[in-house]
Amino acid sequence: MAIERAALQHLILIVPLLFSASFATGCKNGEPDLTGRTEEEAASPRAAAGIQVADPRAAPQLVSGWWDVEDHAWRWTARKFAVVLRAPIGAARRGATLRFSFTLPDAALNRFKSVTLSASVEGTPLAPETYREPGPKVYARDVPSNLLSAYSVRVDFKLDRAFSPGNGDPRELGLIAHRLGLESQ
Amino acid sequence: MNAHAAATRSGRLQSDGLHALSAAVYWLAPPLLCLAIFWRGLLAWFQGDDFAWLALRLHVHDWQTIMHALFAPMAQGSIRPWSERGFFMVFESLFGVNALPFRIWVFLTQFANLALVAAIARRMTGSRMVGFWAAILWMVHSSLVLPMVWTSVYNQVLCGFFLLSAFWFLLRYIETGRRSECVGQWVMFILGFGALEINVVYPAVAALYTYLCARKYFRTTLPLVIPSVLFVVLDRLAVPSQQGGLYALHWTSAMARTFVIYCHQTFAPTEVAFWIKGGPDILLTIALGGAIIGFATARMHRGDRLPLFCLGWFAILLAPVLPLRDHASPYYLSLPTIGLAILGGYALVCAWHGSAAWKTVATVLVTTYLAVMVPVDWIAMEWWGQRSWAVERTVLGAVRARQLHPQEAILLDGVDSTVFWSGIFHYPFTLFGVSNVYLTPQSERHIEPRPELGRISDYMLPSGPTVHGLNDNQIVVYRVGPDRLKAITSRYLDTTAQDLSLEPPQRVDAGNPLMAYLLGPEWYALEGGSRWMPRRATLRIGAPQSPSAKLFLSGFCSESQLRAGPLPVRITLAGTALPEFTLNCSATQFHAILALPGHLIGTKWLDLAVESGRTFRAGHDGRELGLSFGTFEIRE
Repeated sequence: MAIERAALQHLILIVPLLFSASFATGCKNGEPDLTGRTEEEAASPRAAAGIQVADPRAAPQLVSGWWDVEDHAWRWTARKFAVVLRAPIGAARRGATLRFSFTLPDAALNRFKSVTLSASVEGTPLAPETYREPGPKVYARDVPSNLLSAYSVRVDFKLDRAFSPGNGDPRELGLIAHRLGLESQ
Repeated sequence: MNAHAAATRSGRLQSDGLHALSAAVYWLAPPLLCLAIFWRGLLAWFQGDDFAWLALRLHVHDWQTIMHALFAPMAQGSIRPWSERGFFMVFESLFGVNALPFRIWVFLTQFANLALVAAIARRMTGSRMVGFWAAILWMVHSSLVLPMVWTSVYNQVLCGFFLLSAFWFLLRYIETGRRSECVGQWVMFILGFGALEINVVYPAVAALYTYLCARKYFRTTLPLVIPSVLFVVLDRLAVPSQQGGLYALHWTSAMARTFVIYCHQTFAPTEVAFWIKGGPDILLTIALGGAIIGFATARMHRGDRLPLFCLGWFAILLAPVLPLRDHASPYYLSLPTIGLAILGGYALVCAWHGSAAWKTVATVLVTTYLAVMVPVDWIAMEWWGQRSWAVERTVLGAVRARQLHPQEAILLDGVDSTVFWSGIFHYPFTLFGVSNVYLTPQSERHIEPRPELGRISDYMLPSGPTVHGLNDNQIVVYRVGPDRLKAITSRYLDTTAQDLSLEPPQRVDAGNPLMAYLLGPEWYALEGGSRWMPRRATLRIGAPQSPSAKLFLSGFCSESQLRAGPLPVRITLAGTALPEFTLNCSATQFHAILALPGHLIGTKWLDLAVESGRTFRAGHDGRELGLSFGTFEIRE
């Protein structure tokens, strides 16, 4: 039996050492510290080619004519509003499609019978569109490649009419905007 | 008188000190050498199958699921609660996804094995040095590399512990005749079934030893066969034999060929030791194997049956893996070689007691053996260690990327075959609660296909959704590098992404927000990993490229919907209605495969409409609900 006792005595020297190392390094202590596991890009945040207007990350791209986010989902626009969008992938060769998803409110059409939306990219106008029914709409126009050679472009929108909700709300309201962007072709 | 007593006491103290030192060297040298050779295994991270065992925790919610996780047949039908499921679940619950404690435990078990080998060899031969050399010769064997570096192969180490412990108790039983030692043997033997199936052969080992060396106890080993037979019967009932694939059993003459391959690998591990291939490996096998056989024959002529038992140990422990004709793995030698290591230690010590010529022969052979095995261990440990650390860098890098970019999908670029098949293929990100990690489009160009395991494309984000996601800043791209993941989103946008195709993919996942642009306006908002539709919904999908392509659908329908009887589902592709199919009450999760008309080939994409035969409304949810998807995929 002496032989097993000797084995135990000597292995016992190693076991606590390894166990304490195990517990010291291994015990669950919340989130592991992963700092330094990635090397991040030095560049400042990129503008997106397409945005959900309610997304807080898109706020820097909304240049003018936008009211606050409502229901975490949409924003009212003013009569004139503008946005900066990054030129999408392949746009400098193939052009892109400007697509704007919005809702035309009953309140606007009750007053005006029709509303015309026009847009321009870097000052070059795109064909306008007139809407006579309320509800969800998509304004889509092809944008030629020569307008999209820069990293980002400014897109200006204009409505022929806007309304004020009254009841002490001084805002000038145009459309309920959801999403807009330049899409690769 | 006093001076004499003092001198005697001093001499005894010196002698005690030397004895203690010698005992320390005897017992600590094998584990310390083990650490010196296999230290990379102590620091290795998880890889391959480890992730499947780590993921078990995610499926455990109550006693029923614990029992299922511990005992349900998995991975080729194996049931190994102590060495795999229980081991991973206990250590993960204590330490999280932290490899070091797992590795330390594996090493501790192996240290115990080394002590058991030394103790067993010492008891069988009566020589301390045989025990020492048996432990050393076994410890350096190249078959131990995988068990010492890959946590999933802990089953070999733990099974070794139970086998050696049971046999050690048997030796003590033979020595003392105490019933408690016999009970100890039984306990360790029965526990061994929870480590590895190879445990079934222990009765043969015990019977062979007692028959050859302690005939009086032979009959006491026969009842050990009963648990083995019961285990085999229950195992076969629970898990039908594999009819094909790597793990199919071939009870043919191929077993003899497999045996010869293992004998060769025992002495010449050519899988790693490429420098001994083509001649030296045969010489090495003949020299070392011949020496062992020669020694055994010479001892048997003198009436010593122990060498025959050692050879029998090798053959008996190897026997269960011989029918695995297509899966001869070096690590299957880790337990059989214990017998040869004891025999080798025995031969070495006997030779050392012989003439100078025998001493020289023994020294040359042992030096040759060590000169082959130690470098092989070193090289193989480096390779396996590096593989595990490459997986660690990628997985933990992706987890860090998720911390920094909680809303974006993560694309990994530059993933090679090693990292993919030993890491990403097992989708280890879920262990950290991370999803939406994909490979960049065209990643399959850098990864060796292994269709028997799975499809690389399932892990890639197709080009079209990648372009859309990048345009909308919904994606960040990281390159897998030698040190850590490197964010390359801007560079990827300006270079590779410019050439990506915009065509719709042939696999549309309705539950993936990056593919939402392919869905028609009818679909409801994303819920978890799927999306409900009303009675009818549309989407755009890549067209089939060959006449044998089919449409694969997977989704979910409500139980309440099926109570009214089979639910018809209609699919229309580019205006062509496919044969209607029905979902019945046995499955709320459904999968369907539909043949496609030939004329759809050649176009770039198709408009697909899916229509549910019935709809329902759930509780306060006022929506009209048809089916929930799921994926739509066109492939062969």
